[in-house]
Amino acid sequence: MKRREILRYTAYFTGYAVTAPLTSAILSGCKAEPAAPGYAPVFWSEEAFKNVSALVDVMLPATQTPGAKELGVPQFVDLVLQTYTEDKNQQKIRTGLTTWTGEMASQQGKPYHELDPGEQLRLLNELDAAARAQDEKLAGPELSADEKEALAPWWLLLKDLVIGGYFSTQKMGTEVLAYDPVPGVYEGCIPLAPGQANWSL
Amino acid sequence: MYFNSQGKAEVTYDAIVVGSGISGGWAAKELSQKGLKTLVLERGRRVRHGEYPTAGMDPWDYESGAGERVPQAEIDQHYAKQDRTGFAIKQSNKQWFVKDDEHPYTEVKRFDWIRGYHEGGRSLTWGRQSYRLSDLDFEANARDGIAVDWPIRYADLKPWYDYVETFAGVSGQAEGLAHLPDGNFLPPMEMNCVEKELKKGVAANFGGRLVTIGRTAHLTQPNPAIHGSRGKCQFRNRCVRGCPYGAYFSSNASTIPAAEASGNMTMRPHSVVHSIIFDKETGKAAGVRVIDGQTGEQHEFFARIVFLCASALGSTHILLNSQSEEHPDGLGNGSGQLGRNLMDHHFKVGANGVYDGFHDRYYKGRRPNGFYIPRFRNLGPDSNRKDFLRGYGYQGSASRDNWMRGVKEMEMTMGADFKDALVLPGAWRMGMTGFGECLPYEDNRVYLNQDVKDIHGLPTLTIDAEFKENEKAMRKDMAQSAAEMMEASGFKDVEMYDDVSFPGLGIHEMGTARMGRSAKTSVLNKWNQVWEAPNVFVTDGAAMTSAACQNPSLTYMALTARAADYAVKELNKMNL
Repeated sequence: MKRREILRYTAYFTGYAVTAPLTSAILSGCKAEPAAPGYAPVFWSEEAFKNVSALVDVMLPATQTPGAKELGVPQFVDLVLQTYTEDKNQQKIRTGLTTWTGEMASQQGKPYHELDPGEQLRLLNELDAAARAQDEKLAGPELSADEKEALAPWWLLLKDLVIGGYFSTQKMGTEVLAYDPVPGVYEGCIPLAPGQANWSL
Repeated sequence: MYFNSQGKAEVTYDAIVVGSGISGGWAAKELSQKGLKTLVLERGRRVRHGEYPTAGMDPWDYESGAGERVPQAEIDQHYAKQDRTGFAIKQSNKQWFVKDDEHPYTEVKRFDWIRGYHEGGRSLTWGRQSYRLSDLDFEANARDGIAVDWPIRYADLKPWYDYVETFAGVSGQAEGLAHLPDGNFLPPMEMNCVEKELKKGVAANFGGRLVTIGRTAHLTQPNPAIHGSRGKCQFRNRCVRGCPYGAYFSSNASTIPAAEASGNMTMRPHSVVHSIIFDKETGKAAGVRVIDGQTGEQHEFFARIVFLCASALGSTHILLNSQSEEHPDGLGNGSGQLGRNLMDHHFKVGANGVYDGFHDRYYKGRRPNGFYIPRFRNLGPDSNRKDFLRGYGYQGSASRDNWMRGVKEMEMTMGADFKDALVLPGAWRMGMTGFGECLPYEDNRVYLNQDVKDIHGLPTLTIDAEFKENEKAMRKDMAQSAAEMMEASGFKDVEMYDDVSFPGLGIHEMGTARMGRSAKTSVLNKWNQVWEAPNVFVTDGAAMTSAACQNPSLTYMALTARAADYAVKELNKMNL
């Protein structure tokens, strides 16, 4: 049985609380699907997709938990940019990424995705520091939310998608983060256990 | 337009209720429980309690692989205006919002008209915050010499607030404030550690200001004798999708099942009301004209009384379109006030900041509620302002940063350690926004647009409204006062913001058929009766004479229950 069917069943037929531990035990049986091999990008060119995959991998690499690349985040980013993103942001991100990786390639003498991973990460962190410094200048009450969005650096939009996409995968959401679909209570000030992860929902 | 009538007996009821949202649901319940054969005309589809297809879905459950996102092309085609909310158009809840291309309106100035055309209306997606108005509000227009005086006072509405709160179930904390009266509360939800710090800081530094937990229409302790099969709040915070537990008040979970149980209610979906049939012999409404939303067929239904509960602009639209020889500019428009004095709350202005402490504390559950700071401006000589009239309250909450702090807030280079750090909770952060009163201005108005028709061929509305100088002056104080309270309470990195608020987005449309003391200057009398057709009652947001700064739905419930009680008594006395 699929997880959502379980939840629907319990919710509709009892009308009352499903105890959280029971629910979690049922739900942990559902696993993430592995990303399809040989993915053909729809938003990015083949070359740009290789660069995006490389930066996603060094940014959120595999540790004791899975990395963003193996959870399909590059494909997720490609899909969201193609179908779920406003034109103006599509263009901003496409132009930004292409320009930056172009500069890096001429500086380094080979494509970004062929660089040593340590070098990829160093360059990405430089880009990130510059983008955040630029973004900080937008803070404060002078600019409206819309204006801030219009002036936001392209990299931070892409970074938002990568981080958001990674932590909303089923793997992270149910196995690494603390998954509690039906908390049943609100307790506003409880001890934080050592190593306690963020709630996933 | 020609309307096909069936046999008159088949289409004649004691009462007709137009709309099944917050107000219509209450009208249906009260009238049917008092023994009236009641026809409820809902313009959209039926939604029975429990028919909430996305209620249990997690972000990774959507087949698209893109979470709750809706394709940009679909937003552009159908939801350009509804998407201005930022929350409405998601895979999990877009079914509760209209397609703008099917139901267009014209904006002279930007107005965000956010609607849901289905059984239960916006009672499925409302914010659930439930506050009483007080005499500070009911006397405001008379005191300030603005617009017209409310024809009622708190004492008129108090028993009805008691009545509707009991059935709806409102959780909250009694605070003993004269200008924000306490109600019959279910146990309050809890404030978290950092919210309690704000409460202490505000109490210590700002005499007369108070931080309390939001008063919200959720069952924290259901009573089966009153609430039937509705369950306790599970703290999932997925309310906007529809609650399978029935834990928050909606028409679908609460008033419509009660009306159905009376055996006296008939729900007719896909029934778009065209206009009210005015009988010049009796000087009253005979019934309503309806267009079937699915077949396009036209019908007439008849009743002794009609309750218009189609939302502020929906009810006003019907009255404007109810044109006859006697009422060429619409029924109830003898004063010229029908469509005027449109109000909404202005918001999206306040402050946010970080609390450096409680690093070893967390919370469990997703509380569908926040804290509330009741109005503290212009309460009397000690708090009166020269720069603006009326006041505002704040709504906000604190929580710990999650992984999204990795985008901007974290001073850490990316890579393995960064990734692992994002799994853990970050700093405590608080944000609050004011909700400010908007004055009633005659030139903030709606009128019929015969050039643009909706999918049923009905004329649409043109909306011409804006926030003006009083609201703009108030907003400066709303940002500054929020920041002052947070700074005095020990918050760091406190930042004021004003993200600009356009009318409509508060989704608290009010006015346009105001109550008053004279037929010359208002549309409705003190019982919500249309002066020009006393068996027509308008009990939704259209009736509001002023906006106050409190979330208004509880007041619509109380007005509706009060008017229904009066209507039935008058019917029994043969006065209607």
